[in-house]
Amino acid sequence: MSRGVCRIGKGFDLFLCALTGQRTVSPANRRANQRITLVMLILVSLTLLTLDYHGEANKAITGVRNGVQSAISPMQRAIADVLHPVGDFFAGAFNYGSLESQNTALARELGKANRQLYEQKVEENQIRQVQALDHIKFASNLASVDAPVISQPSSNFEYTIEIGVGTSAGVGVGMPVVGLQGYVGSVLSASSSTAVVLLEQDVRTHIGVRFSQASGGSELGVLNGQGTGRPLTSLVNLPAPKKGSIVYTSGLYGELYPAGLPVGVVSKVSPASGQLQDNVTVTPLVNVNSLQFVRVLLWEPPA
Amino acid sequence: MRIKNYLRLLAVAVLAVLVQQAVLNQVVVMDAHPDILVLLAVCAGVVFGPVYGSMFAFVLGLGADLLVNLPFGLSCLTFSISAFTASYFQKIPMHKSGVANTGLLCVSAALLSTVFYAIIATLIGQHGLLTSQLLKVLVVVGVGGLILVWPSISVLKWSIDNESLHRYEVPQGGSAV
Repeated sequence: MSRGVCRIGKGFDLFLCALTGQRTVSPANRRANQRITLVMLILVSLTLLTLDYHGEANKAITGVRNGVQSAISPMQRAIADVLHPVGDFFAGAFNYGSLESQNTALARELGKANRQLYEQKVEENQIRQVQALDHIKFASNLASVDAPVISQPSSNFEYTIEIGVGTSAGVGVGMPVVGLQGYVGSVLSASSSTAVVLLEQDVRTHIGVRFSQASGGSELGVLNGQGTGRPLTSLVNLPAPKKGSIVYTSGLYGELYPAGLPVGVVSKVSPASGQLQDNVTVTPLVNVNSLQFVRVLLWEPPA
Repeated sequence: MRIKNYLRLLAVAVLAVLVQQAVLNQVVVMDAHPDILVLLAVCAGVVFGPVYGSMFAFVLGLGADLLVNLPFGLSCLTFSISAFTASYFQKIPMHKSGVANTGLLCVSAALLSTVFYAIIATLIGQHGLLTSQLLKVLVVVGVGGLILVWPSISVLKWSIDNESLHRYEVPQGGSAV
């Protein structure tokens, strides 16, 4: 190999040469270096995972996360303001097949509209959503703060949204978040200006609820999130609630949520094998994908 | 030149995190969104090779972990291993391989990395990841990946500048392995 030409082979390391300059490395040494690098990275990753799980570092990591989210939220908000219509456009385009003919006609009409007009409509829609929050009939006796939704879930494996209010507005961890139709989720973490909301469908969500019964009474249960895009489920003593009945938070002593928040509607009741209970499936009332504003109830869950 | 390359790489990583958080997270289809971070991680493995590719992927994983409330270090782990593995599938140097093949390799690796992430997360106690929703996520990540893979590769190549790529290219017929 001529002088000045990096000795690299198949599968090669262009980056090594670009960053460090010409260097001659024997194939055996290079393979060893590659494996050592991978092993080191895996060890560091496992260390981070362990610290996050068990160590005091968990608090520090949470602090760093909140700090980073606070730092990038202004830029994120500005970019999101500009690009929200673009995201809405793509989301609408992908869901095109499932829209009714009326929605199709509306989409065509919107496609012809110019960008300025579209943005104006988006803003009007946001204003309507904020105003609509004033018509929420439940939890009216609780102090609250309205917040814009500034980001959808950051991971495909976590069902959260980020909202534009934080501890400076009185928002704290565990506080319930509602939309116009009902319960949305609870605050998972909060920085000074933003907060992450754990949505009701996340597998970490467990909600104490009261089912309206056909007999006029009511039955208690615990709704469990089943993951993104899936309804919530619960086991309920017989007689089971009717399909179509609304489910509310129970608000029992020690419960994480205040009483009377609409959570969802019973969509399926099926007998649980080998048990004296029925398996009840509940579809959430709130469509999270269309949320632009939510209301945080300043209600501290019991310690 | 070295500092310039490092700064460019840092800028690419920060920009990727911002694009993911501010733009791609808003493009929700079937309750999933495209994932440029995992795509960049495997592209880095293909473009930079196993050592620096996996290191760059690790840094991207740190950025990804800061954005979510899942176990910290999980993205670092999966991105590093995925980038390292993807680099071994790229047997032909970048400038000689088919563009389409490279793109498909990166998208396939990104999909495998997504599945790998779900499996590892499940193994360490996260529930509800290995469900039918994962298939929808794979579809969205795959389609998004096909759109984003060539810009991603181009940006990564730019980050170590064309001059370096050509200067250190593999001589004809020369194999050090």
